[in-house]
Amino acid sequence: MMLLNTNEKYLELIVFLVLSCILSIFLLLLSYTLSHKKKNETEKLSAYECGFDPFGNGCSSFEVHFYVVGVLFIIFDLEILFLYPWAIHLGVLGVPGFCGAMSFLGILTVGFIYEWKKGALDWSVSRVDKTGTALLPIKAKRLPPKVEISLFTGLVVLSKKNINVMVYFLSFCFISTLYILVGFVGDIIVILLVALFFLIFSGAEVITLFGRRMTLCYRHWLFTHTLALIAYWVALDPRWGLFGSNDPLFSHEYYLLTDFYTVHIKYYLFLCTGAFLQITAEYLLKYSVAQKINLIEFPLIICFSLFFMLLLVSSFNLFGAYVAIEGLTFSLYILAGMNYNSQNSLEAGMKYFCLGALASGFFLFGVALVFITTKTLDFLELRFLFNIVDELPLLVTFGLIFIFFGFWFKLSIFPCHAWTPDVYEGVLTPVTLFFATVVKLGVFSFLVRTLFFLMGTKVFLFFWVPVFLFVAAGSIVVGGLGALRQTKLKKFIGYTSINQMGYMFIGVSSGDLLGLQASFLYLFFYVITGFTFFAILLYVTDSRTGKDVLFINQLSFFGRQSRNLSFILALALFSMAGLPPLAGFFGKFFLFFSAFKAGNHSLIVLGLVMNVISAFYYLRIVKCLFFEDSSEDLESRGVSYLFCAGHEGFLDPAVLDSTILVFLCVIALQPFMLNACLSHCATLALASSCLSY
Amino acid sequence: MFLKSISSFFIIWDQAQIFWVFLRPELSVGGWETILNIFGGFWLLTHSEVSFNFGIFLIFSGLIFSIGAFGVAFNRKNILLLMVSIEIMFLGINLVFISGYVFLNLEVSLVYALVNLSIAAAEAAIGFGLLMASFRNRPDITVRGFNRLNG
Repeated sequence: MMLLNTNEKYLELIVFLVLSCILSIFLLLLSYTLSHKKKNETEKLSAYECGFDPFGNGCSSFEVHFYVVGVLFIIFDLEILFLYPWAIHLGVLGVPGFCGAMSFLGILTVGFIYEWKKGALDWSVSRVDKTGTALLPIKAKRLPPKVEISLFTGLVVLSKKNINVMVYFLSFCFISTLYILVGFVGDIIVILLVALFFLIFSGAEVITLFGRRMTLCYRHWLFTHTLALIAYWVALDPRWGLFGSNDPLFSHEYYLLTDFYTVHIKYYLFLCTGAFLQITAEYLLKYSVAQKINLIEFPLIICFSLFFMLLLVSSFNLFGAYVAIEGLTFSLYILAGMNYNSQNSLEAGMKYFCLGALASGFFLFGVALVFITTKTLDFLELRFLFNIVDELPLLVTFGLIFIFFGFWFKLSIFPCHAWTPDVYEGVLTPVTLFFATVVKLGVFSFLVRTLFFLMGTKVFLFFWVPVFLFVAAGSIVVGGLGALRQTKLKKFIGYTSINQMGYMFIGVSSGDLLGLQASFLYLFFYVITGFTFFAILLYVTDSRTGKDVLFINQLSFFGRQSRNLSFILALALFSMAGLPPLAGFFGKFFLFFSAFKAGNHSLIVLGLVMNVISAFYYLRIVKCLFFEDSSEDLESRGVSYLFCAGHEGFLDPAVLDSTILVFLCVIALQPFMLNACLSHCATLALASSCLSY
Repeated sequence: MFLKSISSFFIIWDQAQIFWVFLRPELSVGGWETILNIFGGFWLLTHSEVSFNFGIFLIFSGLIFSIGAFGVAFNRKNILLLMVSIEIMFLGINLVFISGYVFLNLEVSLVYALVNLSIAAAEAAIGFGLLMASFRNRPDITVRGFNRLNG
């Protein structure tokens, strides 16, 4: 009542509170009076006949199926959250606002239908697959962990009966995705060009989708995505002059920026994702046939994460960057738990989810601290503020530390690296490749923007360089020593990637043009080597179980079977170890050179020592490939490689051999060609991030 | 009355100059006041012209955030509790944005809070989806049960 007298505008709130209290009490009373009760309830509370009092809390057991409905409610709460401000300001927003909200509702409805069709809302634990042979079952046996992104994947409601609905969904989703995907670039020509490509390819896809068997569908599905990505790539080619100038182009209220640096990075991201989809196509087809699971969302979620990486690269506001990172992370959670028949994959997904949520919470807390201290999150204003003060305010320093924790988690750098080996081990092998290469490229390019543009060389050099030196040294040591005793192949790759990221941070912590150039060079070589390594690894299968190669010593039989492929594998490993004629050597050489010029001599010594140690375990795999003499028990752990020749593959084994060989010879063996290109890129990066505007 | 007692407590603290521990390393004494200082409310109270309630708000939201973070880090029992801790963490951050709107008059921070809320809900949805898929494979939701990949 006192509140009522002082301020009458809280009257409605109080009425609302009282009403909700009355309603909840009424419902509780209703359930209490109407529910069925047993007569002698004292039996339930007493101890059992063995005489022990019950251990632990008896009330803690929850029906887990309750959370199915919980998730549904969360999604519809979100809808209300967005629709309430929209409904209040409908008069201001007009027709565009109405159309926007309606398209949002449409996507939500489509996703809901998809969820329902997929059997995600069933109460029962599992259902028997009646056909058992269907490659792409419409109703999956178990719940797919893609509740949120499935809102957007309405086009996957695959049914032969309703082809019209299918075509409608396809065009709708493609165009909306396309608009979102390219809209932030802000150039109508690119939108139209890519729309044309997309329409052509989606039309071709619909024809092939119903004309052939489902196994072929999947291939064309992947092929379409790859072609669309190549189309983007062509459209975004900086040499075409669409974005050839260094003039920055701001869009969306200065939340996004397009300049020479972002266009270059996007170009490489498109290229990498297209190559990734094409490399993993055969493996996924093979896997989905063997395990009878539906992987048709896979390229779509890859494209979502690509989209969020593009958004991240061009974001020019810390909160915008947070939203982009969260979108990327959501896609990665779903990718990690994609193989929902395997407990390993789900456990990897859960681990990645828990630690990733912690890291993004830290990131957001850092953003909030920066925001309330400086009252802005715009990069230009923050850069101005950072450069005029002598000493950063305390809150801003802590905010930046929290923000870098988020980055280090995404890049699996030393203090936040603990998730890497487990997650790499558990997920599907293509997802391991994606985590190890493409994601790192996207996140690292934004980290460079943050370090060299937002904070500027002055702040960076005088405060952050020791932190980054420590982090680089830590991840080199932890990754190198961790990989030393690994016998599992994918866990080994996880530790290796920690090690390589540490080497890449040597260049960053030099804090100058040369260092940045060297780290970009190293990153690109790492990505290429990773692609080469995995392109071969994805084709190798254990002939007895039909599963992936789990252990390193299983590769010994592979060396006898295919000399060409194992030779290329050995070249990739030599390149990772940094042997002189190969790409990895030049990457490490430039890194150490930049560290030498910056005066970080102790880091050079550490890097060289750890490089010698890491050469040991790289060469151990090469020894396994060629010199392992274990003919007595070859049959017991025999591994044969399996090409998907039964599915009319694009890639003949011989063609594959020669392709990969040419790939490696042209790109990895001639580093200077790439060096010229990439030093150009890095120079422009630094120029655009420090000098202009 | 409650606010008054809290504020007088803070004023006494200000005279002791414990807030300076991070700016002056020689004064650093460690302990729990150092941890509290991370959340910056004390620093803002003494070093800028913001109102007193704002600092208290910041300390409060920092405490909520830290409760959530410690819950994620040290929870060894139940994955559902872990997800609740994640939600608590995000709501604590949301309180920072909301206090930015209330005390600093930054309209955009309300939009940030809204978007942040929706992102946190989406994250929870994905987490529950993963958990349910895992539960259907193996009915166990203890944190210790997720140890197949160790080694």
